[in-house]
Amino acid sequence: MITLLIKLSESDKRVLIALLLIIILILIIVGYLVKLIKYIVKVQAHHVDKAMYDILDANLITEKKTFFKVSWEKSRRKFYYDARIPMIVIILMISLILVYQTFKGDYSWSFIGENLYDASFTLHFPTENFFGLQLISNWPTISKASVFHFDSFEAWISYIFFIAISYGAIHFLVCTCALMARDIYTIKAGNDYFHKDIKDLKKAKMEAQQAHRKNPTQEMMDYVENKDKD
Amino acid sequence: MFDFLKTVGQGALYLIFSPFILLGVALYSVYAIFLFFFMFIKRIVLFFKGEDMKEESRYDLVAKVHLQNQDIEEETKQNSIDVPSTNLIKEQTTIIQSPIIIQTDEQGRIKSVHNVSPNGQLSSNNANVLINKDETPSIETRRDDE
Repeated sequence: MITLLIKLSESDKRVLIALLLIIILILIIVGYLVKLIKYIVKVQAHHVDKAMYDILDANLITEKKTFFKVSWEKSRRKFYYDARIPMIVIILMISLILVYQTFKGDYSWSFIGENLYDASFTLHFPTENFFGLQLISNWPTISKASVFHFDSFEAWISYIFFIAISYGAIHFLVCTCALMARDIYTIKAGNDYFHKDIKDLKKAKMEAQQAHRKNPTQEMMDYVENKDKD
Repeated sequence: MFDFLKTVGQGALYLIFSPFILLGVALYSVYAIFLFFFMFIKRIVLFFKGEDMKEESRYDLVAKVHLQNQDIEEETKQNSIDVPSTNLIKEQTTIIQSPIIIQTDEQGRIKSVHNVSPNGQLSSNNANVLINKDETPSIETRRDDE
């Protein structure tokens, strides 16, 4: 039925297979990225557990509100210490550029862009028309090669700035994700710990009273046995 | 295979929601930048108050002391429990007041019992044999055919 309606050429089939493979590859990469994020969240959640365990064990916090307050404060402090290094790197790099610009007397940031553009390369992806869509049909070719100006001071500053800022931004982003994970887990853990359930309360009371656990006395047993005989 | 499909499915789901997730992370990053500078200022203020942010909070200190005290109390309680007297090993002493000579026949039935007095004289069993319950007397068995 489908073969009658849609007639695919050999080239179309190849493009279709390539397209499917690319989509599956993207989905797999995103799927594993999600797994990685979940693992980071789990590790950060463990930090909240570790930080709050003794305080809850000592019964120092009896309210959910206080739990949130203390846990968030601890989380913020950890974030501050974790994010210090990337922030110092970013601030130092920006200061370096500002000092250089002051000496030069030109406060333009364009030289960084120009040097980085020269250092970058451009790929040309050949495309084909597929049902009105321009889709990639083959491996790319290099249309612009990288050019590094190692003899230029400005170029050096640009490269160092780019590497340092990239490191700082990625590290800071990881710290931010960790902070977010801890904050979300705090809400979850607080709601779980201070959750009031009547059924749980009843069960705890029953267990405390040892209800339905006591064995009948010998007198009771004798009485019952005699009753049966009668 | 199921795990692989699950991973692909998760990938698809998160790919659809990725713009919202990225927006959320971007907004949180802006908040985090402000938070960092806020914590920096807070640290300076705390420093001039004589406190250090790196140190444990008051909650942690109190919790630590409280739990330690509880542990010590528990330990003291366990150590103060008296060991029941039945478990004590008492020193057993055997005092031989007067040895006994029991005569038996071939079948091993008791024929006669004689006490030996400290000066070596034999006395009949019908006489009072003073053996304390706790004391183990030495028993010497002699047969008629010996």
